[in-house]
Amino acid sequence: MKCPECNHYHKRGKDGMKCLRCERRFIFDPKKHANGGKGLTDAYFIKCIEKLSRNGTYFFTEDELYCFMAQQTRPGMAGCIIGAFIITAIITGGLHLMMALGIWPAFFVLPILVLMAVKISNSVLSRKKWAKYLRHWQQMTDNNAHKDNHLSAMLTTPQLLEKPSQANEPDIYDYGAAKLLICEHDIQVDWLVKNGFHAENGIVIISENFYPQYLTEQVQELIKNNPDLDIYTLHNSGSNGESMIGRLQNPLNNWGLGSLKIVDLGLSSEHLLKAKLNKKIIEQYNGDFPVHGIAYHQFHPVLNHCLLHGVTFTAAYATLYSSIDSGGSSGFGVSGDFG
Amino acid sequence: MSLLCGHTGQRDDARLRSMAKQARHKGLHKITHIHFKNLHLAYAADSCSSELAGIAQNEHSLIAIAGIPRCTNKTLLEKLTSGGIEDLLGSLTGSYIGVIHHQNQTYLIRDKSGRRTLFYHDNSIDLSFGTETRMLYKAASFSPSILPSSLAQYLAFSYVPGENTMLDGIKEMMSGSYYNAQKREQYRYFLPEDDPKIECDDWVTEFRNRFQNSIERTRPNGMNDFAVFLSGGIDSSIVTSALAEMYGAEKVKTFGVHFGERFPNELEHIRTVAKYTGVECEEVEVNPKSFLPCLHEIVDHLNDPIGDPVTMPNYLLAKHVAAQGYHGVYNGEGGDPIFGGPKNMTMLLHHWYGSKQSENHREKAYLASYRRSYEEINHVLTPEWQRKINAEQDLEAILSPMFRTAQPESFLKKLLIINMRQKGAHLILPKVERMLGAHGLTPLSPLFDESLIQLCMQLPGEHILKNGIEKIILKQAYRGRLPDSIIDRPKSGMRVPVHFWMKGEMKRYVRKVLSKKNLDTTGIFDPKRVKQLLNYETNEGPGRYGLKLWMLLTFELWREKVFEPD
Repeated sequence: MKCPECNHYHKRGKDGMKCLRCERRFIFDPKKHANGGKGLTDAYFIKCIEKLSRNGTYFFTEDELYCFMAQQTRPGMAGCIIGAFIITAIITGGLHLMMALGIWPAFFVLPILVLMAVKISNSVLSRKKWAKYLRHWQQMTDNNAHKDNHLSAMLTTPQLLEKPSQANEPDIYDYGAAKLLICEHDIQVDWLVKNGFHAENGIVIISENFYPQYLTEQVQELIKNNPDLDIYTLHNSGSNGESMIGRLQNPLNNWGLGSLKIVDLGLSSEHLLKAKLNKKIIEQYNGDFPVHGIAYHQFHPVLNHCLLHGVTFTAAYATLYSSIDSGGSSGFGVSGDFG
Repeated sequence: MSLLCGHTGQRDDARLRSMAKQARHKGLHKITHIHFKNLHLAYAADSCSSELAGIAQNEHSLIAIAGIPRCTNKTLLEKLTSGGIEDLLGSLTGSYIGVIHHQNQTYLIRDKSGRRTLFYHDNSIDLSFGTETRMLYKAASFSPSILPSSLAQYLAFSYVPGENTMLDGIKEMMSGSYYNAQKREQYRYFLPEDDPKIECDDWVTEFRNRFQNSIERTRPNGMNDFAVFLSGGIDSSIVTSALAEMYGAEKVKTFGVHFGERFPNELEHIRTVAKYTGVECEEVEVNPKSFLPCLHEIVDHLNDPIGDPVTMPNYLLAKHVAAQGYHGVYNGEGGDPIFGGPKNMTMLLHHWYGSKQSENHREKAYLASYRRSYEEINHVLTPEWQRKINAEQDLEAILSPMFRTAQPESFLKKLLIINMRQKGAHLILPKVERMLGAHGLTPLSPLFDESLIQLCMQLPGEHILKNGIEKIILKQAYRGRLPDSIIDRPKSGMRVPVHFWMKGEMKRYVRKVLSKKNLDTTGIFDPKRVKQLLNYETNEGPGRYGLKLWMLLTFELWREKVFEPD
C-alpha cells in the first residue's frame, strides 16, 4: 500500500503499519478493513474524500461520504468472474495433476466460484461496518502525531447554531426573499448553506424543525409578507420525507402553510428506482435514503435547475444530463448583457 | 468616441502627434492640436458630440471636454471663472471626460456616473493623458510592466476596478472625480449618498420623468433614427419602450443577438418586446467563425483587459449596426448596477446565517460571489507571481472603505455604490464604450445617468429590492408599457456559450494561445494548471472552465499586444 503522506510504496505485513520513509502511522489495514472484496487503504480513503469534496472545495455529509465510498469500492462483476476463472484453472489444474482424472473437477469448482464472484460483486460496504471504520479513522487521527484534516469539511453536528453578529446597517432583513426551501433534516440546511447554495440562488433555507432557530421570525415574516413566495421542500425518500408537505400544510402544526403552493424537490421511492444509484446501497437505509447521500457536485446543478425552471428533481436530472441546455451552474460563461 | 490626449510640461509636437496617432477608434472628426501654457493636447469630436464639447479658452483658463456634456445656464468658462473647478463640475451633466487648466492648476475630469473613460500617467515631471492606454504606454519614456495587484483583481472580477489599470503607472479616472496634477491626487466631486433627503409622493412617476429626461439629454443633436441593443431583459426593454413612446416606434430599430440554434437564446423575449412596442427588430448570430478572426482586434480595442465574454457580441453587433449608418446606439447598460445587481441578495443572505465570521468576512463573501476566477489566484499563477500578491491588500482593501463607510446607512445602498463605482464605471460602461467606439459608434446609456443615481440614493429600499425581486421601480414604471412576461421574468443575463466553444470550435485556438511554450516564456501562469483547465479536469467546485479560459485568453492576447507588438 502507498503512504498518502510521502507516496512511498509499502509492503503490509513485511514492513509493518508504519511508513518506512516518513514514519506515518497507517490507520487502515487492508486485510482487516476490507469491503466488497477490496481492501481499504489510507491512500484510497483520502482519495475518496478528495474526489467527493472536489479537492476540498465542498463540505460533505457523513452519508455522502459513505454512499460515495460504497459506490466506489464495489468490485466489478466482470472482474470477479475473470478472477473465478483463474482460480478455477489453478485449482482444477492441481486436481488434474493429483487425480489424473481429466477435466471433470472444473464442472464442480467453476459454478461454485462464479456464484461466489457474483455474490461478492453485489455486496457493498455495510453502513455499520463503515461507521466503525470512520470512528477508527477519527480516533486514530486524534491520537496520531500526524495532523490530519481530511475530515474537517465533513458535516456531522449543526454548525449554524450561533446567531450571526449584528450588522451595523438596519436593513439586512428588509428585502425578504423570493424563495424558501424547507429541509426535512437540520444537516441538510448545513450541507446547502455551508456550500453557499443559498447565496448562489437567493434562497432562504431552514429545516422543518426551524433550524437555525434564529431565522424563525424572519421566515414567518417572509411567508406573511410575500404572497408570491416560492416554497420548496427537500427531503429523504422515506415515508416521513414523502409526507412532509402534508405536515407543513396541516393547520394544527407550527408551519400551518395551509393551501400555499409547495414544490416538492425531495426524493421519492420512484426517484430511487430511476436513479443510477446502486440498489444495495439504497437498501442500507431501509427505505429512508437521505438526499444528502448524493454527492453535492452532482446534486447541486440538478437542484439549481429545479429552482430555475420550476421542475421536479427527476425532470431536472434527466434534462441536465441529456441536453446541452444544462442550466443552473451550467457551462454558460457569464451573466452580462446589454443591460 | 471622441479623442482627447495630451501632456503637460515642455511642448513636444512629435510626442503629441504620436499620441494622437495611436487612436484606434473610428468616426473621429478632424484632430485639433492646442497649446495652452504648459498644457498640450489633441482633440477630435465624433458625430455624437454635443455643442458644449470642444475647446474653450480665455487668457487664464482652458477647458477641453469630449463627449456629450450638458450644462444649464452660463458658459463653462464663466462657470469656471466665477465658481472654480468644483462649481463647474457640479453643474455639468451627461457623459464626458476632459482636461482643464485654471489658475495654474491642471485637472483631468470624468463624468459623474462614469460613462466615459480617461487614462493618465503622472511621472511627477509631467502628466500625460489619453482616451486610450496605448497613447501612454507606447511613449518612448514609458516602460510597461504588469501590476501584480491588478492581475489579482482581474482574476477576481474579470476587470481591474479602481484607479489602477493592468499596467503599473497608468491610472484610470474614477467616476465623478477630478485629478489635480499639482497635488497628484483624485478627488470625488459627485457624492449622491451625501445629498439631503428629499420627500416624494410618487417615486414611480419621478423615476419615469427622470428616465425620459435622461433619454432626451443623451440624445445627440440631430439624431432622429434610433438604434437599440435589445437583450430581452428589463433594462434594454424599457429603453426601447421609452424611445418608441417619445419619438415614435417607426424611428426605432432594435438589434438582438443569439449564438446559433444549438444554444439557448433570448430571441423569444426580444421579439416579444419588439412586437409589443411596435419597433423593428433585427437578429444577428454570433459564433466563433465570426469572432475568432477579429479577437485580437477586440482585445486591442478593450485597452485594459476585460475578461467578460459579452465584449465579443457587443463588438460584432456594433459592427453590424455601424454598417447601417448609425452613429450612436441606445442600450440598457447601467440598469443593473444602479437598480439591481446579482450580488445584492447573495450579500444580504450572507448576513442571515451564523457561523464564525472573520474580520473581512464581507469582503471575502463579495469576492467569492463574483464567481470569476477568485479561487484560481492560488492555482493558476506561478509561485513567483503568487508571492507578489497579497489578497488582503490587493483585493479586500479595495472593498473595505465602501463596506465600512457611514454613508449610506443602508447595506443595500452600500452594495449599489460598489456596483456603480466599480463594476459600472470600470467594466460595464467602458466595455460598451470601447466595443462601440471600435466601429465609430457612441454608446447612449440613459439608465447610467447621474440623476438616476441620485434618485437611487433617495429611493426607499423597497422600490429597489422587494421580496427578493430586484429593479422594482423599473418594473412599476413600465408595467403596462411592456408585456408582463418581460416585467416579471427573472434576470437571465446573456449566456455566452464559451463553455461549449472552448472544447469545440475554439479548442485549437485557445490551446495555441495558452500553449506551454507561451506560458513558460512569460512565467505568469502555471502551464500545469492551465492544462487542467483546458482539459476541464481541475476536479474542484463548479468548474466554470469556459469563463476562466476566456479570461486567460483575453489576458494573454492583451499581454502580447502590449509586450510583443511585433
